[in-house]
Amino acid sequence: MATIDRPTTERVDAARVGAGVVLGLALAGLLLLLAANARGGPIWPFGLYLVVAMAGLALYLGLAHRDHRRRTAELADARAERRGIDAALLAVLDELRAGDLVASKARAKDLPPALQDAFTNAADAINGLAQQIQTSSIEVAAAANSVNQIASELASGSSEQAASVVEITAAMEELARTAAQIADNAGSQAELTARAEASGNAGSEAVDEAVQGVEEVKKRISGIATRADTLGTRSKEIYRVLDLITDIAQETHILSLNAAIEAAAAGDHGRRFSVVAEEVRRLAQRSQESVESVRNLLDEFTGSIRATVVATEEGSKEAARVLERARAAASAIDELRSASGDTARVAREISLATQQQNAASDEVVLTLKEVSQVVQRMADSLKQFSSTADQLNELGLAIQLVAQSFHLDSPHSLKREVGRWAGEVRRRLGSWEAIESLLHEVLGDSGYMELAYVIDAGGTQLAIAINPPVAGTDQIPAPLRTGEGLTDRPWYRGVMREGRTIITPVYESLLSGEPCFTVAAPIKEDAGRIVGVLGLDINVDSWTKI
Amino acid sequence: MSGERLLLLRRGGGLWGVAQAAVREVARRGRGYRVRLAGEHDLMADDVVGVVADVPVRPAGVVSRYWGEPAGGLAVHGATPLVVVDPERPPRFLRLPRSDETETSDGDDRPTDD
Amino acid sequence: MRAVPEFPILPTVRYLLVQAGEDLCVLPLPRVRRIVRNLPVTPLPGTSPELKGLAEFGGEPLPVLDLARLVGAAPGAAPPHPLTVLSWAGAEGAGELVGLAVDAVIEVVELAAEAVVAAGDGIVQGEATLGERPVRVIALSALGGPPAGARAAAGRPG
Repeated sequence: MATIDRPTTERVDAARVGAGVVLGLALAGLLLLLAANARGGPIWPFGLYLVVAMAGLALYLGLAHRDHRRRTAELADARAERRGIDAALLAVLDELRAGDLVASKARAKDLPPALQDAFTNAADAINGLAQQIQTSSIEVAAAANSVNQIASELASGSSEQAASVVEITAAMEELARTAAQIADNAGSQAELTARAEASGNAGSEAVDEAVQGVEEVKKRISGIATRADTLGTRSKEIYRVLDLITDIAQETHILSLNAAIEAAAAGDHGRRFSVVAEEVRRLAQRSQESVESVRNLLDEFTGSIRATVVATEEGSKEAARVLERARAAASAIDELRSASGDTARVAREISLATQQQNAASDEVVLTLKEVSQVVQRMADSLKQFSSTADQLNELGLAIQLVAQSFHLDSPHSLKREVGRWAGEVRRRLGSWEAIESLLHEVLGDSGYMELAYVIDAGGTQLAIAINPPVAGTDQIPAPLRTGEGLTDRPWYRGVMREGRTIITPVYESLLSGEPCFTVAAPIKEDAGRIVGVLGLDINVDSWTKI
Repeated sequence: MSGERLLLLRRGGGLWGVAQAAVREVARRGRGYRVRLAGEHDLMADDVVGVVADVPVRPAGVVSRYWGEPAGGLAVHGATPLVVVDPERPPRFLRLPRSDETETSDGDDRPTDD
Repeated sequence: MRAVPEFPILPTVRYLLVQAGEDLCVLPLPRVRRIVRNLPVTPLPGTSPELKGLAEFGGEPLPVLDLARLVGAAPGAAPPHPLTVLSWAGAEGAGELVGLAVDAVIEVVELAAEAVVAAGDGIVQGEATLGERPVRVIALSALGGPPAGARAAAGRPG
């Protein structure tokens, strides 16, 4: 095939440049001639030059024109060829636009070999890429599903974790409140024990003073007892004197009586002596009575002394007992002070420890709150992640659907498979039972199709089959069963318009209520006329899990 | 009664006298003495003071009335009053039965009752 | 002028008032020889309670009797100064000197003979009232042992 290539263009350009150069030379000669003429010098060199230049120019132009005519003819041939190639290329690109790589490869046979090879390579590359995309989209969908599951589990786990953190936070706050209360109680206890300690100190001082006082009292009692002993000793001496006086009085009494006896024995001569004797007896009696009085007084006095001595002894004993008790009390107070000191120290330590615990609990609570916030943020992030996973899932599905928009020579290509089944349906046209049987077979083999149906070119439903495990029901809704309004369905109109297999966007299934899409393929006779449409409703969830 | 010659002995914390004429023998008996009399009875003594002469003895009087024992009389030796026993009827607590001939009796001898 | 009436002078007897146990007794003063304190008495074994023992006075043996037991008086508190009243007991002119242990010797008193209410032939001759106190009148003649003849040389009967 003639081609208009770059060298031709370069030749034309070179011819223009050459002509220009020659013309320029001629003009230069002309100018020189004129200049020489003006100078009045010889002009015949310049004229010769001009003639030669003009001849050369004429020759060049003649040669260029001949070449130009030849080139123009070749250009016309090339244009005609190009128009043919463009038509073929448009056809190929049209198929390619429709994503039908199989048809586009078939159309590419009309292209020049190089172009055909190039397109075939490109188509193969696109095929491979599309298949890779399909495969990757399946993996992406699967991964997105896994991610979604993981995200859901993580979200669930983080929610539980957040709930646990809330519980722990509440428990820690309760612990913190308890610790604060303990700290307060310990503080109060510390104050009480400090006051007890101070009271103990005061008590100890008071006891010491009391002990000193009792010892002083004891000394004084001892002094009193000593003086009482002295008085008792003096009293004994007085008693001895009284006894002596009593003895003397008694002797005098007896003497007087004896004198009276002698006087009586003396008869009248002893009468005066008996009087004297009587006086002496009375004197003795008075002495005795005085002694008795003194003795009574002394008895009272000694009684008092004895009572005083007894009282002082008892007082001394009591003072000793009080002193002992005071010393015991002082010892007990010392022990109490020591115990109070220990208690105060322990209380202070408890107070400090609980305050530290309180601070630590507050820090823990703060940390838990931060953890809770982090967990909550993580839960929110996981929700977002889950949302992102959903988006990824949707993206994966979208990519899959995009990948499925290509008609590839691959068993994973829905368009290829549906087109193949459409061919099978065509062979069974005229027998709706056979078509229906084929539809059940197709549904049974797939595991992801909800519904399969065949409509003729006039929009009449020829056959319909339902896949209960995927559809979730075995009841075909009335509109679907009767096939009303099928000609208005976008998949029908798309197929009838494009004449090729189409895939609808995702919609909600009337059967399962889940997302699904329809793959519809034309049923063509040999001449290429569309005689019907095969429709397959595919459940997205089941399809992405295969 | 005129002064008599008496053998004085101690027994039971008191001082006793017996007419020396009635005394036949004085012998040791354990830690005390046996005074053998002329009559039926012997006397036992804690101690024998000795024989004193010319001791005025007065009648027993109320002592006989309230003692219940026959008494030969009362006397004084030194400043100590004593009862002079009747050798024929010495007081029971002074008596020593003739059957108890052992001279080596130990321990306190107690008055025996006839 | 009216003559001062002459009242008959009642005969009185002088007695020594003593305390014997819880009773008051009077001893006829003429029969009382001496009052002695703290006379050592040697008890005689086997005697009745009335005979406290033997003592010595003036070189003579002296039986000492418990007057309270003799008259049957209830025993009193232990006397602070035990006294012995040396008295002539027995028949008049032929008695013996005995010691009467008493709790106390109070005074010499006089009692009318008619004031004594006879009580019998025992040692308690009778009873009388001295002031408002009843007293027992002791008959020392009823006391004493068998008559022993001459008295001790240191005394004479009253």
